[in-house]
Amino acid sequence: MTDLLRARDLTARFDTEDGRVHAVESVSFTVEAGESFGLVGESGSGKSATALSIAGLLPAAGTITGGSLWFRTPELAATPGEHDVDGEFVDLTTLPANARRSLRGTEIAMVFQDPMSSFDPSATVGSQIAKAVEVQQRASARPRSTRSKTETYGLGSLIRDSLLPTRSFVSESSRERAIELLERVGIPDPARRAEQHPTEFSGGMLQRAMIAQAIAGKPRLLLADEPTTALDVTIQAQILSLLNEIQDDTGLSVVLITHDLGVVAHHSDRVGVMYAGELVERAPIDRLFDAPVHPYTQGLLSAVPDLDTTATPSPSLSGRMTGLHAHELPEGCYFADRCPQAMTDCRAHPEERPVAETDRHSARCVLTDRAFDPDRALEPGAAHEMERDHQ
Amino acid sequence: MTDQPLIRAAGLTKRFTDGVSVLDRLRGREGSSITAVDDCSLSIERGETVGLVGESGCGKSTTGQLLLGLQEPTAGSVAFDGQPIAAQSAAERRRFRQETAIVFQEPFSSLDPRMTVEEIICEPLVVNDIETESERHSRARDLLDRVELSAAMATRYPHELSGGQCQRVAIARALALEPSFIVLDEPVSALDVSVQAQILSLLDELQAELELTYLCITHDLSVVSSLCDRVAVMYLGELIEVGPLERVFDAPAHPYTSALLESVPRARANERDRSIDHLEGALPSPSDPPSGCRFHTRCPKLIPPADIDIDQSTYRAIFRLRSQIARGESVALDEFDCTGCSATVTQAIEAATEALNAGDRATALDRLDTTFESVCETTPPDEHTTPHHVSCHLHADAHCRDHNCE
Repeated sequence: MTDLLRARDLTARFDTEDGRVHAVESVSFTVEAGESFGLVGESGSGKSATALSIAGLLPAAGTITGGSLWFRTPELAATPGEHDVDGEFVDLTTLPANARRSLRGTEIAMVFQDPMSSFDPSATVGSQIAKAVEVQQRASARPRSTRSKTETYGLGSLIRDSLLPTRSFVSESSRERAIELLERVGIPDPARRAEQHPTEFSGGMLQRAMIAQAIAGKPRLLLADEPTTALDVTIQAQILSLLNEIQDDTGLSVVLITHDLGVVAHHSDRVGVMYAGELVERAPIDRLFDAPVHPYTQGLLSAVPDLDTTATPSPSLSGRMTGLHAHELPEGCYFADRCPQAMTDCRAHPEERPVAETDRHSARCVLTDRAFDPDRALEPGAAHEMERDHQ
Repeated sequence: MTDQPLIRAAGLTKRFTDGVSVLDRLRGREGSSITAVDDCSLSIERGETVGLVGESGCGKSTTGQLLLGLQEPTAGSVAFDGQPIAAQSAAERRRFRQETAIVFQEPFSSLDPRMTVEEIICEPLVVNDIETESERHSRARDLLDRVELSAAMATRYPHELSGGQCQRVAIARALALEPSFIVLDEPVSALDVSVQAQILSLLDELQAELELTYLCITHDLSVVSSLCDRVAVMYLGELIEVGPLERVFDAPAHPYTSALLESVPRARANERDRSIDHLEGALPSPSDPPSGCRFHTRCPKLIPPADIDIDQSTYRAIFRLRSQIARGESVALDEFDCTGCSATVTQAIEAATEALNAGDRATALDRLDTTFESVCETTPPDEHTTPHHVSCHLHADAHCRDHNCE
């Protein structure tokens, strides 16, 4: 299979009043064309920051400070410019802002957690989707080479818009396409629904509409950030099966960000587990559930209550994640102070290494190449005395 | 101590009326009303944990508040330890308040940001004027210890705590008056999975040590499976299935319960191969609940009339068409695939198509209704007690006789 996205040592920082936050730390993974890659982790582990980095939507306080994001887009790769090119791949982090923007919606689209706050409450759902269609059509009508020089909204545009205030941005065909899209995502009576405002939609319907908007530009990569977290479980099942269906139809690649291991198990081909900004384990779905290597993954899996047995899940992960400010991060493994298998070796920060002979399964843990040795075990919490006092 | 259940709710109903001013009332106008809880009966024995599950807006939280007397029921009654709470004197109500407690979903917003952890935990003692200040101080340490927080936490403010720690403080506060009954309203929904497991096991330990009785309100079935002894499933304000955990989870009697259980994605390797037969549509509005069985609009096991022979998928397709016609939406009835249908079905569809093409929706609908109307649409199901409490026509004696169910 061909790759679509290769993240290499992606690193992102947030500047806050309390100092720099190491939100994403040297994260590497590959998303193949047509596959679904799951990113799981608990809140604050850096999943969303990773997705926002890929989409180029980091808030003002956040910056990508290192690494690269190779995205396969042959046309842009063939266009001369300042960006780094590797064959058919372009490094997104080197693209100028306007070129980055023109990829958004057309090549890379995003679906957010809370559908209610992602739509403009004052416009109809149909018109908002039609706008997405319109943007896509205008973008593809222009040749790629000029697209990087997207017109800026200057004095000329202001005068024109003031003199011709009724000039509609959205054409009739875009409106029709919006209705088609609503139908595509399973919204009954789409023509009537398109004229309604977001408040008239239920959460599940609105999430469908957001998916419609995301696929309007026929993107090749969909970043879905907790797309079902705000929904009831029966609606979640509907949305997940819709995503599956769209993926099968269009060959779209999906990066699914979620805290719910069940959702990943249901939807993804491969999974990356994040902890304290790092990708601590990466594996095909069956390997991750059947043979997890990183003690954090193991703890996370055992913490999930199993619906089919009635045992209370074991609270095997005690304590909480280290803070991500530069001064809070321990020198060694970030997980060592909570790790039941921490050894003296963990005082050095582990590298990401392949597990056994397979390069599709890797972990950032010393246990990838040696077994747990009780003689070298650290007392629980002894790894980072300093950090414990912090908590 | 008596041998009757600690909590017994009978025919509990709560109706919220909206948008009625005094003027409207004088004119005899009625506002729109929502029946959040409709004729629910539930008993909770001492020391057990009952899980109340359902989707958002089904009336779970309102039920919890009714049981604690935090809201007045429109009809029905709640008895605590055999005594109806509506008939309590002021002193009795005060004692009842001490005997019961609630832990809310949002750990941050349920703690006063301007109080220290110790002040928060001692607040119930202060309000009820129990113990001296120094006694309260030592009590707070005990409670912190009980919920596995260090004594150093006592002087912290809520914003300095993590979500899990906040929830522990909320639990400590609920325990302050040594209650016998605690309503846990989505106790772990806002927490990460590793913290969830910690809180669930804490709740489990506390129950064993202090002989607590819990009502655990949650939308998360996996929480129910790890904490509860019995399960009560709610749909649109009605309790549709109540039974022991193992029975309900292993052999759900109501189609809604099975759909709910099936919809939960399991965290294991072969999950992708499990096909989910997911429910159609969304929860109907509680202000205008469907007729008959409230679940019939989404039910995958609608009961066709006894005189027609039809498979479920065709029957559901016809049901969808009928609701579209009733709502005034455009339908393509002539494209309906009748292959393999019995003569009665084909005739009814043809007649309706003819009427619809002639522009007569009412006749078309009437023709379809006469042939296809399900008992689920017309009659609210009775509560059946086999295998456990379930409100569904599938468990009616007549249906079971015809279909040889167990």
